[in-house]
Amino acid sequence: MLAAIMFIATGCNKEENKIDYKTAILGEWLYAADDMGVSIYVEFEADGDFSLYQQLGEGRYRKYTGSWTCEGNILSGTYTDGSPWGSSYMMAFNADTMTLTAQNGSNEVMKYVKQSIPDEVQEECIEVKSGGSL
Amino acid sequence: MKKYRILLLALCAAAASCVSEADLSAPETAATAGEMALQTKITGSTEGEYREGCLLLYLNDQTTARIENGEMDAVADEMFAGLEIKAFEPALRHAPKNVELARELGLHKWFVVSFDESTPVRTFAAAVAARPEISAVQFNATPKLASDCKAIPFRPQASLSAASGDVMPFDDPMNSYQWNLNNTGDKSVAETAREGADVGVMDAWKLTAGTPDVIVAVCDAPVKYTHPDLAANMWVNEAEKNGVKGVDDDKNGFIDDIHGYNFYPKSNGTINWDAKGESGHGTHVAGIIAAVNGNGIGVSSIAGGSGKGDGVRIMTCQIFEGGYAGGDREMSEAIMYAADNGACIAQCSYGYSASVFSSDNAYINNAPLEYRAIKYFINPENANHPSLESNLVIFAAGNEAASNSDYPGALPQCISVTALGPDYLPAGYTNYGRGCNIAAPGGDYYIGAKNEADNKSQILSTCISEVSDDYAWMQGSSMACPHMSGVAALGVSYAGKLGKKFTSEEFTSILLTSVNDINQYLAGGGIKPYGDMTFSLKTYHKRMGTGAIDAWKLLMQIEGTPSVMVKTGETCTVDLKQFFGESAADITYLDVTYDDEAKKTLGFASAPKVKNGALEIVCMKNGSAKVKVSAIAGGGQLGGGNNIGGSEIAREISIISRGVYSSNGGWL
Repeated sequence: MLAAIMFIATGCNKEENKIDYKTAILGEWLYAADDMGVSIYVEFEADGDFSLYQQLGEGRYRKYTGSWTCEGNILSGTYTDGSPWGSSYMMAFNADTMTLTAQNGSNEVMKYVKQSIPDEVQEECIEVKSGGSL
Repeated sequence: MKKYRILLLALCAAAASCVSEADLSAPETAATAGEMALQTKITGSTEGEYREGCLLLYLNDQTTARIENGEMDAVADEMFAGLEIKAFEPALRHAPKNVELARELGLHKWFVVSFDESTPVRTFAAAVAARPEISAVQFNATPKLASDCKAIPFRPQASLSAASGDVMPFDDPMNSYQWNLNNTGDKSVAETAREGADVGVMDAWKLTAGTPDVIVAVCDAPVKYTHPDLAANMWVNEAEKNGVKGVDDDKNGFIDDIHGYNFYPKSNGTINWDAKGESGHGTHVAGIIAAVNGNGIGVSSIAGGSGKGDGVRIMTCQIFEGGYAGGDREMSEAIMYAADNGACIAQCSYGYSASVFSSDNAYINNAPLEYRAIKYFINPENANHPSLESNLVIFAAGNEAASNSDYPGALPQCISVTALGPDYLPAGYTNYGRGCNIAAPGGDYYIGAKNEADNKSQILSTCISEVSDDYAWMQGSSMACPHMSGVAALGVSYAGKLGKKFTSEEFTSILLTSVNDINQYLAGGGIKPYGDMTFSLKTYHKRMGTGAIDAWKLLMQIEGTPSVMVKTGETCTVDLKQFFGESAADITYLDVTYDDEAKKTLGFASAPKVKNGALEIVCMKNGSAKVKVSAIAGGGQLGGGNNIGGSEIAREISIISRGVYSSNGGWL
């Protein structure tokens, strides 16, 4: 029994290790939960840039940009205005789902699904330049 | 109706003979029984100017009922026995649908008696005041336009560079001179001109330039409705336009009111811009709001449409003629007409000088008719746009350089607008301080090029060729006020496009918080010229209202204000700028309220509070809920009662509390 469990665990680790996180993260994602009345899209690009489109409750989407880095399965980043992300995240992928688990002690879990960012979101958003100002 | 012979001389003689030596040292109120009665029943101010030959009377219930039962002549016979009068009639007309509202406000009990102008109003008032039928008498007080009414004709000159560059989206050739719409900081306007010191309409126009279902009543001097740059945006009463001349085709009580009505005394209702002494003030005001955009001529305007016939509409409610003012009665009737005929914004660039009334109560007690007419206009029963639960009333703050607003603008129910120059600084003439709610471009001649031919630091708009030119420069809080009305009209248009509806409190709150900060320019020890004098900018610090109106910010707030994120378990401060404008740190806050559900959801460790312009909040649970922050728009004291002060505004703030928080508000 113990051997079987160890085998499974080892198998899982091997599976994880096979993931190229820097590649897996690329593309456009939609935050899958809507329990807080938010709509979040994020695009991670191969050159290390990201674009975040967030609609928190009311109003049009706000666009944030910046850069991301990946060390193993840990994702971290900085906004263009120099502000660091609120946390770094442990990444996990399953089919078209990405799970980010905050590493700042809150263990907040966010699930994203692969989805194209609608044109209207990109065209009608307001870009946030610095410090939250528009 | 019978004619009555006035017995005033006899009365005066009798009164004089009754005054004993002892009475000589008594107060003036002991002079006559009539005067004593007048002292107890007078409501209209007798200190300012008022119209001769008429008096407003507030009758008791019993007498009003008799008149409603057809006993008008009998009542007049009794009340004015021995006096000669010309007419006795209801003071106001209103739409049949508003009978109950008018009764609720007591408007049906107001009547006007007219008599020969050679009889002093006070003498006539004293003669009738003791009558038991009369509960109150009011002089028909006259306000002033909030401008010097000097219209300087527009003369394009090669030496004048364009103030707003060549980026304007409409092909109206003069719009490059309209720094009020797009201020590039051009030093030929003024050495101190500041880039961006405008109403922020350039970006707003990408979303809307107005919609024809928004009707703005310009209660003012006449609007020249045939003006080539206004005609297409005039409100049209189709029933009267297609009806029979001289007939009240739509049965609204006003004959031939195709684009509005002339309420000035003794007029026949026809809008008249030919009178001697006319300045074009009303036409100038109208052009700031809704001169036709994109028609290849003249100027652009804030809400004049996109060039496809889709601008907001102007209703002309004429209450001034040839530079003379109608009285309280005419102002009141004009505002009620606007309500009855579809206007959702009353644009009022006039008022009683700041020295006339010292508190809300003083105004309400002395101008009861106009106060009630304003309440009539803003009553939800009269809401004239599907996006507003009640109409908006916008007044100029006044031009006496006084430290409080003129009335009625100072009332909490009205928005009072102060005036800025192209430098985002107060114009020397503008009122400021108590009762002033917000600032907008009004023009400032004294910071211009000091050249008679160059008036670019004033406001360019439509005018009247008969008295000046088709286009002219003017300045005043009279010009600031229509900037606010135009932006408000733009906001209502956009709310309509989005299918959103706002309560009066909600819309006024977002209007008064869609502002840019000007206090940063007023805090130091700067001075500014005003004619041969200078004034200290510090005097105006935090006293020009909530800030300078910005159309783009308004439209963004109409779309909705995003939630703010805080980090669970930590003391967080939420910058209130996105809710209360760029001057949020300078506003006086009243309260933070929330319901039990919000408290339970977010687990407040302590009561949220406002500190230094930021909301301080500690949430112990992840979740989202709303709190409401209330504040004063304009000064540190609320208006109402014996105060003169700002209006209460309130914003709902959606809070998202989570374990991840970035200082710039980003989700990751």
